[in-house]
Amino acid sequence: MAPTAREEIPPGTLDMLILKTLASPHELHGFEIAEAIETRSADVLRVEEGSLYPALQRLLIKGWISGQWGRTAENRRARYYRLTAAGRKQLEAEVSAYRRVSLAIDRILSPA
Amino acid sequence: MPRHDAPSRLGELARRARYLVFRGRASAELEEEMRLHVALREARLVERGASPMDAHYAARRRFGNWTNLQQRSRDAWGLAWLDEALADVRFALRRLRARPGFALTTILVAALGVGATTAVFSAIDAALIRPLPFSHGDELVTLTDVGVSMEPAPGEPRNGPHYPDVTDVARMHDLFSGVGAFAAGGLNMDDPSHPRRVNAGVVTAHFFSLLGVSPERGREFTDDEGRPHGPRAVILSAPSGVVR
Repeated sequence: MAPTAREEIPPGTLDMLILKTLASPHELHGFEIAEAIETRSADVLRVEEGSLYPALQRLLIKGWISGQWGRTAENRRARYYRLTAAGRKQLEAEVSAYRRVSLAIDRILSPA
Repeated sequence: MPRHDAPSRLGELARRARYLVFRGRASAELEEEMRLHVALREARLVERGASPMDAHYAARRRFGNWTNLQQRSRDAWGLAWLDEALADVRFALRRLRARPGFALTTILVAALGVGATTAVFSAIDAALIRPLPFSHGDELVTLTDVGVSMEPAPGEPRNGPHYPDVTDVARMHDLFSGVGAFAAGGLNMDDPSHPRRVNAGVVTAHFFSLLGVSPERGREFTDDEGRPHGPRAVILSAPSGVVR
Protein backbone atom coordinates (compact mmCIF):
# COMPACT_ATOMS: atom_id res chain seq x y z
CA MET A 1 0.00 0.00 0.00
CA ALA A 2 1.41 3.38 -0.98
CA PRO A 3 2.09 5.54 2.04
CA THR A 4 -0.51 8.23 1.54
CA ALA A 5 -1.21 11.09 3.94
CA ARG A 6 -3.79 9.90 6.41
CA GLU A 7 -6.24 12.33 7.93
CA GLU A 8 -8.20 11.90 11.10
CA ILE A 9 -11.93 12.13 10.54
CA PRO A 10 -13.10 15.69 11.33
CA PRO A 11 -14.78 15.84 14.71
CA GLY A 12 -18.53 15.43 14.62
CA THR A 13 -18.64 13.75 11.23
CA LEU A 14 -18.07 10.16 12.35
CA ASP A 15 -21.78 9.59 13.06
CA MET A 16 -22.67 10.86 9.59
CA LEU A 17 -20.07 8.65 7.94
CA ILE A 18 -21.32 5.59 9.81
CA LEU A 19 -24.92 6.35 8.84
CA LYS A 20 -23.92 6.85 5.23
CA THR A 21 -21.95 3.60 5.20
CA LEU A 22 -24.91 1.74 6.64
CA ALA A 23 -27.20 3.21 3.98
CA SER A 24 -25.93 0.39 1.77
CA PRO A 25 -28.30 -2.51 1.15
CA HIS A 26 -26.35 -4.99 3.30
CA GLU A 27 -25.86 -5.05 7.01
CA LEU A 28 -22.30 -4.53 8.18
CA HIS A 29 -20.45 -5.30 11.39
CA GLY A 30 -18.08 -2.86 13.06
CA PHE A 31 -14.93 -3.93 11.34
CA GLU A 32 -16.61 -3.79 7.93
CA ILE A 33 -17.84 -0.27 8.66
CA ALA A 34 -14.31 0.87 9.47
CA GLU A 35 -12.96 -0.78 6.32
CA ALA A 36 -15.72 0.69 4.17
CA ILE A 37 -15.06 4.23 5.37
CA GLU A 38 -11.35 3.94 4.68
CA THR A 39 -11.82 2.30 1.30
CA ARG A 40 -14.43 4.76 0.11
CA SER A 41 -12.32 7.72 1.12
CA ALA A 42 -9.52 6.25 -1.06
CA ASP A 43 -7.62 5.56 2.15
CA VAL A 44 -7.42 9.24 3.03
CA LEU A 45 -9.69 9.08 6.06
CA ARG A 46 -8.63 6.90 8.90
CA VAL A 47 -11.11 5.88 11.52
CA GLU A 48 -9.67 5.67 14.98
CA GLU A 49 -11.14 2.22 15.01
CA GLY A 50 -12.10 1.96 18.63
CA SER A 51 -14.06 5.20 18.50
CA LEU A 52 -16.48 3.44 16.18
CA TYR A 53 -17.96 1.54 19.12
CA PRO A 54 -19.02 4.44 21.35
CA ALA A 55 -20.45 6.02 18.19
CA LEU A 56 -22.40 2.86 17.34
CA GLN A 57 -23.83 2.71 20.88
CA ARG A 58 -24.86 6.36 20.58
CA LEU A 59 -26.62 5.70 17.27
CA LEU A 60 -28.32 2.59 18.67
CA ILE A 61 -29.67 4.58 21.60
CA LYS A 62 -30.92 7.29 19.27
CA GLY A 63 -32.71 4.61 17.26
CA TRP A 64 -30.97 5.61 14.04
CA ILE A 65 -29.46 2.17 13.53
CA SER A 66 -30.41 -1.28 14.71
CA GLY A 67 -28.09 -4.17 15.42
CA GLN A 68 -28.62 -7.88 15.11
CA TRP A 69 -26.26 -10.68 16.00
CA GLY A 70 -25.27 -12.95 13.14
CA ARG A 71 -22.35 -14.99 11.89
CA THR A 72 -19.47 -13.86 9.71
CA ALA A 73 -18.24 -15.82 6.69
CA GLU A 74 -15.66 -17.36 9.05
CA ASN A 75 -18.51 -18.35 11.35
CA ARG A 76 -17.72 -15.88 14.11
CA ARG A 77 -20.45 -14.12 16.06
CA ALA A 78 -20.74 -10.47 15.05
CA ARG A 79 -23.31 -7.72 15.46
CA TYR A 80 -24.59 -6.53 12.12
CA TYR A 81 -25.92 -3.01 11.85
CA ARG A 82 -28.46 -1.49 9.53
CA LEU A 83 -30.02 1.93 9.12
CA THR A 84 -33.54 2.49 10.50
CA ALA A 85 -36.13 4.80 8.91
CA ALA A 86 -35.32 7.43 11.55
CA GLY A 87 -31.64 6.94 10.76
CA ARG A 88 -32.26 7.58 7.08
CA LYS A 89 -33.97 10.87 7.92
CA GLN A 90 -31.16 11.81 10.27
CA LEU A 91 -28.59 11.02 7.58
CA GLU A 92 -30.33 13.32 5.10
CA ALA A 93 -30.47 16.09 7.68
CA GLU A 94 -26.81 15.71 8.62
CA VAL A 95 -25.65 15.56 5.02
CA SER A 96 -27.52 18.70 4.02
CA ALA A 97 -26.26 20.53 7.11
CA TYR A 98 -22.74 19.36 6.32
CA ARG A 99 -23.02 20.49 2.71
CA ARG A 100 -24.13 23.97 3.74
CA VAL A 101 -21.20 24.33 6.11
CA SER A 102 -18.67 22.92 3.69
CA LEU A 103 -19.94 25.18 0.89
CA ALA A 104 -19.61 28.19 3.16
CA ILE A 105 -16.07 27.22 4.09
CA ASP A 106 -15.21 26.74 0.41
CA ARG A 107 -16.45 30.25 -0.34
CA ILE A 108 -14.16 31.68 2.28
CA LEU A 109 -11.17 29.68 1.12
CA SER A 110 -11.54 30.27 -2.61
CA PRO A 111 -9.81 33.41 -3.96
CA ALA A 112 -12.23 36.27 -4.45
CA MET B 1 -30.11 19.95 12.58
CA PRO B 2 -33.76 19.01 13.03
CA ARG B 3 -34.95 18.02 16.47
CA HIS B 4 -36.19 14.48 16.63
CA ASP B 5 -39.88 14.10 17.15
CA ALA B 6 -41.52 12.98 20.36
CA PRO B 7 -42.09 9.29 19.49
CA SER B 8 -38.39 8.75 18.82
CA ARG B 9 -37.61 10.43 22.11
CA LEU B 10 -39.90 7.99 23.86
CA GLY B 11 -38.16 5.20 22.00
CA GLU B 12 -34.84 6.52 23.19
CA LEU B 13 -36.05 6.43 26.79
CA ALA B 14 -37.28 2.88 26.33
CA ARG B 15 -33.93 1.83 24.88
CA ARG B 16 -32.08 3.49 27.75
CA ALA B 17 -34.32 1.65 30.19
CA ARG B 18 -33.50 -1.61 28.45
CA TYR B 19 -29.77 -0.91 28.82
CA LEU B 20 -30.39 -0.18 32.47
CA VAL B 21 -31.94 -3.60 32.98
CA PHE B 22 -29.64 -5.59 30.72
CA ARG B 23 -26.45 -3.63 31.26
CA GLY B 24 -24.46 -6.76 32.07
CA ARG B 25 -25.42 -8.34 28.78
CA ALA B 26 -24.91 -5.11 26.87
CA SER B 27 -21.39 -4.79 28.29
CA ALA B 28 -20.56 -8.37 27.35
CA GLU B 29 -21.86 -7.85 23.82
CA LEU B 30 -19.88 -4.67 23.43
CA GLU B 31 -16.74 -6.42 24.62
CA GLU B 32 -17.29 -9.30 22.20
CA GLU B 33 -17.77 -6.87 19.34
CA MET B 34 -14.60 -4.99 20.15
CA ARG B 35 -12.58 -8.21 20.48
CA LEU B 36 -13.80 -9.39 17.10
CA HIS B 37 -12.73 -6.11 15.55
CA VAL B 38 -9.19 -6.38 16.89
CA ALA B 39 -8.95 -10.02 15.86
CA LEU B 40 -10.11 -9.24 12.34
CA ARG B 41 -7.69 -6.33 12.06
CA GLU B 42 -4.88 -8.57 13.27
CA ALA B 43 -5.76 -11.21 10.67
CA ARG B 44 -5.95 -8.56 7.95
CA LEU B 45 -2.47 -7.27 8.85
CA VAL B 46 -1.03 -10.78 8.78
CA GLU B 47 -2.64 -11.31 5.38
CA ARG B 48 -0.77 -8.24 4.18
CA GLY B 49 2.52 -9.63 5.30
CA ALA B 50 3.01 -8.41 8.85
CA SER B 51 4.57 -10.80 11.35
CA PRO B 52 2.00 -12.20 13.80
CA MET B 53 3.72 -10.36 16.63
CA ASP B 54 3.68 -7.00 14.82
CA ALA B 55 0.09 -7.57 13.73
CA HIS B 56 -0.93 -8.32 17.31
CA TYR B 57 0.40 -5.02 18.63
CA ALA B 58 -0.48 -2.93 15.60
CA ALA B 59 -4.11 -4.03 15.71
CA ARG B 60 -4.37 -3.01 19.36
CA ARG B 61 -2.60 0.27 18.73
CA ARG B 62 -4.97 1.12 15.94
CA PHE B 63 -7.96 0.29 18.04
CA GLY B 64 -7.10 2.71 20.85
CA ASN B 65 -7.49 2.72 24.60
CA TRP B 66 -9.71 -0.27 25.42
CA THR B 67 -10.93 0.79 28.86
CA ASN B 68 -11.56 4.34 27.76
CA LEU B 69 -13.59 3.18 24.76
CA GLN B 70 -15.73 0.88 26.88
CA GLN B 71 -16.34 3.72 29.28
CA ARG B 72 -17.35 6.06 26.47
CA SER B 73 -19.69 3.42 25.04
CA ARG B 74 -21.37 2.99 28.40
CA ASP B 75 -21.66 6.76 28.69
CA ALA B 76 -23.74 6.62 25.50
CA TRP B 77 -26.28 4.52 27.40
CA GLY B 78 -26.67 7.42 29.79
CA LEU B 79 -25.88 5.28 32.82
CA ALA B 80 -22.80 7.15 33.97
CA TRP B 81 -24.87 8.78 36.74
CA LEU B 82 -25.90 5.34 38.00
CA ASP B 83 -22.34 4.04 38.19
CA GLU B 84 -21.26 7.22 39.95
CA ALA B 85 -24.17 7.13 42.38
CA LEU B 86 -23.48 3.48 43.24
CA ALA B 87 -19.80 4.25 43.79
CA ASP B 88 -20.76 7.16 46.06
CA VAL B 89 -23.11 4.99 48.09
CA ARG B 90 -20.50 2.27 48.48
CA PHE B 91 -17.92 4.83 49.56
CA ALA B 92 -20.30 6.36 52.09
CA LEU B 93 -21.21 2.99 53.58
CA ARG B 94 -17.53 2.06 53.87
CA ARG B 95 -16.74 5.28 55.71
CA LEU B 96 -19.74 4.95 58.03
CA ARG B 97 -18.81 1.40 58.94
CA ALA B 98 -15.26 2.47 59.73
CA ARG B 99 -16.48 4.98 62.33
CA PRO B 100 -19.77 3.78 63.83
CA GLY B 101 -19.83 6.38 66.63
CA PHE B 102 -19.53 9.20 64.19
CA ALA B 103 -22.09 7.55 61.93
CA LEU B 104 -24.61 7.21 64.73
CA THR B 105 -24.16 10.84 65.81
CA THR B 106 -24.57 12.03 62.24
CA ILE B 107 -27.71 9.99 61.71
CA LEU B 108 -29.17 11.20 65.00
CA VAL B 109 -28.45 14.84 64.22
CA ALA B 110 -29.88 14.49 60.74
CA ALA B 111 -32.99 12.74 62.10
CA LEU B 112 -33.56 15.45 64.70
CA GLY B 113 -33.10 18.13 62.06
CA VAL B 114 -35.55 16.50 59.69
CA GLY B 115 -38.05 15.91 62.48
CA ALA B 116 -37.91 19.49 63.75
CA THR B 117 -38.19 20.93 60.27
CA THR B 118 -41.15 18.69 59.46
CA ALA B 119 -42.94 19.64 62.65
CA VAL B 120 -42.45 23.37 62.09
CA PHE B 121 -43.49 23.07 58.49
CA SER B 122 -46.65 21.13 59.35
CA ALA B 123 -47.68 23.92 61.73
CA ILE B 124 -46.90 26.67 59.24
CA ASP B 125 -48.63 24.75 56.45
CA ALA B 126 -51.82 24.38 58.46
CA ALA B 127 -51.78 27.95 59.76
CA LEU B 128 -50.50 29.97 56.84
CA ILE B 129 -50.24 28.04 53.60
CA ARG B 130 -53.27 25.79 53.34
CA PRO B 131 -56.41 27.86 52.68
CA LEU B 132 -59.26 27.67 55.16
CA PRO B 133 -61.96 25.21 54.11
CA PHE B 134 -64.44 28.06 53.61
CA SER B 135 -65.42 30.01 50.51
CA HIS B 136 -63.37 33.22 50.23
CA GLY B 137 -61.30 32.07 53.20
CA ASP B 138 -58.80 34.81 52.45
CA GLU B 139 -61.46 37.47 53.10
CA LEU B 140 -62.39 36.20 56.53
CA VAL B 141 -61.49 38.45 59.43
CA THR B 142 -62.17 38.09 63.11
CA LEU B 143 -63.30 41.16 65.00
CA THR B 144 -62.91 41.10 68.75
CA ASP B 145 -64.47 43.64 71.09
CA VAL B 146 -67.80 43.38 69.29
CA GLY B 147 -70.67 42.82 71.62
CA VAL B 148 -73.73 40.69 71.11
CA SER B 149 -76.89 42.26 72.47
CA MET B 150 -78.41 39.79 74.84
CA GLU B 151 -81.66 39.92 76.65
CA PRO B 152 -80.56 41.26 79.99
CA ALA B 153 -81.23 39.17 83.03
CA PRO B 154 -84.16 40.56 85.05
CA GLY B 155 -83.10 43.62 87.00
CA GLU B 156 -79.89 44.20 85.06
CA PRO B 157 -79.47 47.08 82.68
CA ARG B 158 -79.28 46.35 78.98
CA ASN B 159 -75.70 46.40 77.63
CA GLY B 160 -74.83 50.03 77.16
CA PRO B 161 -73.97 51.54 73.80
CA HIS B 162 -70.28 51.56 74.64
CA TYR B 163 -69.34 48.86 72.17
CA PRO B 164 -70.59 48.36 68.64
CA ASP B 165 -72.64 45.18 68.50
CA VAL B 166 -73.03 42.62 65.73
CA THR B 167 -76.01 44.36 64.14
CA ASP B 168 -74.01 47.59 63.93
CA VAL B 169 -71.17 45.82 62.19
CA ALA B 170 -73.57 43.99 59.87
CA ARG B 171 -74.78 47.35 58.65
CA MET B 172 -71.29 48.24 57.34
CA HIS B 173 -72.06 46.91 53.86
CA ASP B 174 -69.14 48.77 52.29
CA LEU B 175 -66.75 46.84 54.55
CA PHE B 176 -68.31 43.39 54.96
CA SER B 177 -70.41 41.31 52.65
CA GLY B 178 -71.65 39.35 55.63
CA VAL B 179 -71.29 39.26 59.38
CA GLY B 180 -71.84 36.47 61.84
CA ALA B 181 -70.96 35.92 65.46
CA PHE B 182 -69.99 32.89 67.44
CA ALA B 183 -69.15 32.02 70.99
CA ALA B 184 -67.48 28.70 71.63
CA GLY B 185 -67.83 26.80 74.85
CA GLY B 186 -68.89 23.54 76.35
CA LEU B 187 -71.98 21.93 77.78
CA ASN B 188 -72.51 19.21 80.34
CA MET B 189 -74.69 16.37 79.14
CA ASP B 190 -76.51 15.37 82.29
CA ASP B 191 -77.35 11.86 81.23
CA PRO B 192 -77.15 10.23 84.69
CA SER B 193 -75.88 6.93 83.41
CA HIS B 194 -73.32 8.50 81.12
CA PRO B 195 -72.63 12.16 81.88
CA ARG B 196 -70.10 13.89 79.74
CA ARG B 197 -68.79 17.19 78.48
CA VAL B 198 -69.37 18.19 74.88
CA ASN B 199 -68.01 21.06 72.86
CA ALA B 200 -70.75 23.46 71.88
CA GLY B 201 -71.07 26.94 70.54
CA VAL B 202 -73.65 29.60 69.86
CA VAL B 203 -73.80 31.20 66.42
CA THR B 204 -75.96 33.78 64.71
CA ALA B 205 -78.41 32.78 61.98
CA HIS B 206 -76.84 32.31 58.51
CA PHE B 207 -73.45 31.79 60.15
CA PHE B 208 -72.77 28.68 58.05
CA SER B 209 -73.97 30.05 54.74
CA LEU B 210 -71.67 33.02 55.37
CA LEU B 211 -68.75 30.57 55.52
CA GLY B 212 -70.04 28.79 52.43
CA VAL B 213 -70.68 25.51 54.20
CA SER B 214 -74.03 23.78 54.40
CA PRO B 215 -75.19 20.99 56.65
CA GLU B 216 -74.94 17.47 55.32
CA ARG B 217 -78.54 16.84 56.48
CA GLY B 218 -81.31 19.20 57.50
CA ARG B 219 -81.03 22.96 57.19
CA GLU B 220 -79.31 26.00 58.55
CA PHE B 221 -80.68 28.16 61.36
CA THR B 222 -83.48 30.43 60.26
CA ASP B 223 -83.94 34.12 61.05
CA ASP B 224 -86.55 33.19 63.65
CA GLU B 225 -84.18 30.86 65.39
CA GLY B 226 -81.65 33.70 65.46
CA ARG B 227 -83.97 36.07 67.36
CA PRO B 228 -84.17 36.23 71.13
CA HIS B 229 -86.81 33.81 72.45
CA GLY B 230 -86.99 32.24 69.02
CA PRO B 231 -87.37 28.49 68.53
CA ARG B 232 -84.43 26.47 69.75
CA ALA B 233 -82.41 24.57 67.19
CA VAL B 234 -79.16 22.71 67.07
CA ILE B 235 -76.79 21.51 64.38
CA LEU B 236 -74.70 18.49 65.30
CA SER B 237 -71.20 17.94 64.00
CA ALA B 238 -70.81 14.67 62.18
CA PRO B 239 -68.53 12.55 64.35
CA SER B 240 -70.19 13.46 67.64
CA GLY B 241 -71.48 10.37 69.34
CA VAL B 242 -74.37 12.34 70.76
CA VAL B 243 -77.02 11.00 68.44
CA ARG B 244 -77.97 7.59 69.70
